[in-house]
Amino acid sequence: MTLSDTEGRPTRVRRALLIANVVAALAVSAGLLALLGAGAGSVPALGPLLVPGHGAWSWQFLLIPIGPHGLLP
Amino acid sequence: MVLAVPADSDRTARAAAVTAEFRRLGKSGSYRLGQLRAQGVGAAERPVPFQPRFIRPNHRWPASVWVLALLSGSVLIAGAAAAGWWVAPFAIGVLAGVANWIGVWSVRVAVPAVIVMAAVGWGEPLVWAELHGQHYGALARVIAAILGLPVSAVIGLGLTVLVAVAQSVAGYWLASAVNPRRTDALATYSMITKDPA
Repeated sequence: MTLSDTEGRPTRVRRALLIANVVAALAVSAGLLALLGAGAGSVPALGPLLVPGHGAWSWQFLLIPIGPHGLLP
Repeated sequence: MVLAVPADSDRTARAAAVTAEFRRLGKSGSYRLGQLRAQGVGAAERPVPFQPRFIRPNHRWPASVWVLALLSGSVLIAGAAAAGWWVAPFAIGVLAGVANWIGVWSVRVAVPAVIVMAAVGWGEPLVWAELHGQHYGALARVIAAILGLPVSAVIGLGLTVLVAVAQSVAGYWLASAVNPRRTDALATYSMITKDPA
């Protein structure tokens, strides 16, 4: 499988791989940020929860009353 | 061809020697290689195989500049964390990917560097606070327990660092994918310069 022609221009296969790589990177990045920012199901929003100095890493977090449906506020 | 016959020998003896030399031709053991070295003929050097590399050896700036940039990235991530900006590792990872489009470091070097940068950025404030009597180790155990994980300070701290590392690697991947390297041009450059490094 050649990824470039004799003049160094990307072939159709290489262009397809590059586009697929961009799409995959976009999807993974968006999914990861959405998961960390908003959570999903039983997974809490770990981004704001675990940022150092804030969220769970602040001592005030321990003063939040535990709700009836789980330990997380 | 040089024959082992003295120049002053008579004609019959020289003819016999020539005949003997031709009879030896093509037979195993007639000419041992050790005799070539004794005659001053050295062994031929083995050719070094050419290995083309697809990474440009020139990273534009010295390695110390890139290390300083990584340290700056860690400081930025830590400072943003102090301000509560949890997406800072992703943004710094994107910047690292754009910077590596200029530096052209290999993935095996760049990705571990980005991982270390993010881990230091979020881990260092916690370790620093623990060392200064903030008891963040106990808080890490509480966090692990709240999240339903085994109660361990390593797990609480590791999960926090993992969140930063995942963001930075995703950001680096995104920037690298949007700005792909021209590997063909780099290979041509390496083949022209024949740089083995």
